Amino acid sequence: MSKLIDKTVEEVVSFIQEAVFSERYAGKEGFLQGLDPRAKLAALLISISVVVGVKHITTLLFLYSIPLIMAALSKVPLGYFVRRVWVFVPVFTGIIAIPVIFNVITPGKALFVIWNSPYIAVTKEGLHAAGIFTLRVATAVSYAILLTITTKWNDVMKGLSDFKVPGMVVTITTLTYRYIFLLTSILVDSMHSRKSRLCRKLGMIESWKEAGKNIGAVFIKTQMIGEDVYYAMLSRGYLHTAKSLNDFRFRKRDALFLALTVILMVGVFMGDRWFI
Amino acid sequence: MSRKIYEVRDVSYTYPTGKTALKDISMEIYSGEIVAVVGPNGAGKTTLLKILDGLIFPQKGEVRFMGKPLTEEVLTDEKEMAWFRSRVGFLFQNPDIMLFSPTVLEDVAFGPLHLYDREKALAITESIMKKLGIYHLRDRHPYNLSGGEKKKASIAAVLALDPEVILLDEPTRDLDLKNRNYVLELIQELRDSGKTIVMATHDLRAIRLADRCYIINTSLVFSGTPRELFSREDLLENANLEIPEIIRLLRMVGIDEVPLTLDEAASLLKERMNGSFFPTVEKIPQQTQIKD
Repeated sequence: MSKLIDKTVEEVVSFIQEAVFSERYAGKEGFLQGLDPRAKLAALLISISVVVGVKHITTLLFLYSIPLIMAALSKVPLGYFVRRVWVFVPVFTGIIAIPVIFNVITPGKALFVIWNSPYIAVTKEGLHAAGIFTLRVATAVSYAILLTITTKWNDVMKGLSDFKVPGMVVTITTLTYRYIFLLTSILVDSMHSRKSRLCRKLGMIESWKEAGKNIGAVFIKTQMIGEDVYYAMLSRGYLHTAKSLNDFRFRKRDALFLALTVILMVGVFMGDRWFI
Repeated sequence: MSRKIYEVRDVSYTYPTGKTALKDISMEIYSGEIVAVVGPNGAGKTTLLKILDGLIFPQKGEVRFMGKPLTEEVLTDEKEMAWFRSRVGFLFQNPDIMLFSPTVLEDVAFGPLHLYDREKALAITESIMKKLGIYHLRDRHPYNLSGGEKKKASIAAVLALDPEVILLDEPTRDLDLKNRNYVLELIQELRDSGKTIVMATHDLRAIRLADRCYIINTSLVFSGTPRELFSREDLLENANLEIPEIIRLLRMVGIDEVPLTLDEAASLLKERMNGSFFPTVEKIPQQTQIKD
């Protein structure tokens, strides 16, 4: 079990470090990379509003296909993109979607009976509701992740600042981003340090207890380090606004992209409401 | 007399946990000097540097920077803050704390971008990176750099603001000999170019560079020159430092004077032994420094 925890933590950490910090695709020359981050942010807000508002699974499937096409046009490998989205989806939806499939929450036609007394079954309506919910989350997450994959983090933050998002929100988001890397590095280091001093195999309960202690210690350390990260930013003139080396220029193609997004999303929303 | 940069009067600081970090500390720092702040671990050195950088504020006492009081209220004003931040740079002990952007270039540019327009910030950033020989690292992720490269990148991040005063927290810690020498030479160069340097350190070679040093152990224990410090075993013990080996050697042969460089030590030995016992001493390269 201890090996399982260690392996899982290592995998999660290396995934976060690679996924969040590499900015590998943000620097490539692709369709979305060439757009003004403010246009992308506005398009994201519009798209997510529509994703949240539509009712039919076919509309959601159509909406889900859009970020896939955009990813391909932006030179983001589809396998990588889909994996990044679906790694987070179970975390966001699992707790809510799983109970929904049972007759206790969603009554309906029983597809699979789990228990007769009390009667617990998976219902068709429940599966449909959970499916729509999961697809809705996956689609919304796809749009958000596509923005962060194809845009440098500082540019996303500067875009938010330009949209008059309060400085404190930008600061907290910026700090969180910077803090995650330190947190994950410390977590792996402290895990390795524990491993190097372990002279016998721990039982399951013991290993869970040790992992709990480890997590507690890591949080105390990162709290102190997080404070220092903020001081290091302040010390270099940080004024609660994001700055970027990239000069933002809202060009014709940005306006066209935004206009097309509005037309498409309004069309999809109306079609979902009145034609399907 | 040089211009007074910092005036610290009866400063006390207590952590939120209730532990006293600093008690009634008073000191003065003048333009163009190197001041070493020495003391055992947990003595409050880093806290003092944070107070000098206006990151935290003492509960008691007063700090003045170039005659102006350094208070939370003053630094809330954007204009005052920009004025102060462009004059004081702080090199944190752990470079990972200072390097938080996706590329080294963006990290070094972080400070200039907050003080100047984009073009000027980029020009300053590129120039300092070239000067420190890290321009080739511009697109690298800071977390994937070696320890020495991280230190250089964080030094560049501080120097990019071209501050008049540089606060260094353990600048040579965790560095290999080559990188340590590099940092020490840089400190000397910075002093030669007129910068004021305040450094918290345990490194005897770094202390040797200082014009003056303070020992703090929550309270102020000593204020004087490095030579005075090295001549007093009780003070060195208080600061958890060891007497440099060359000084120990001189004491073993009955010489009580305190050399700060190997050249000085060689002269003392030659003088005492009339040159007869140490014929090879002259072969010691010039400018060789005492190693701790």
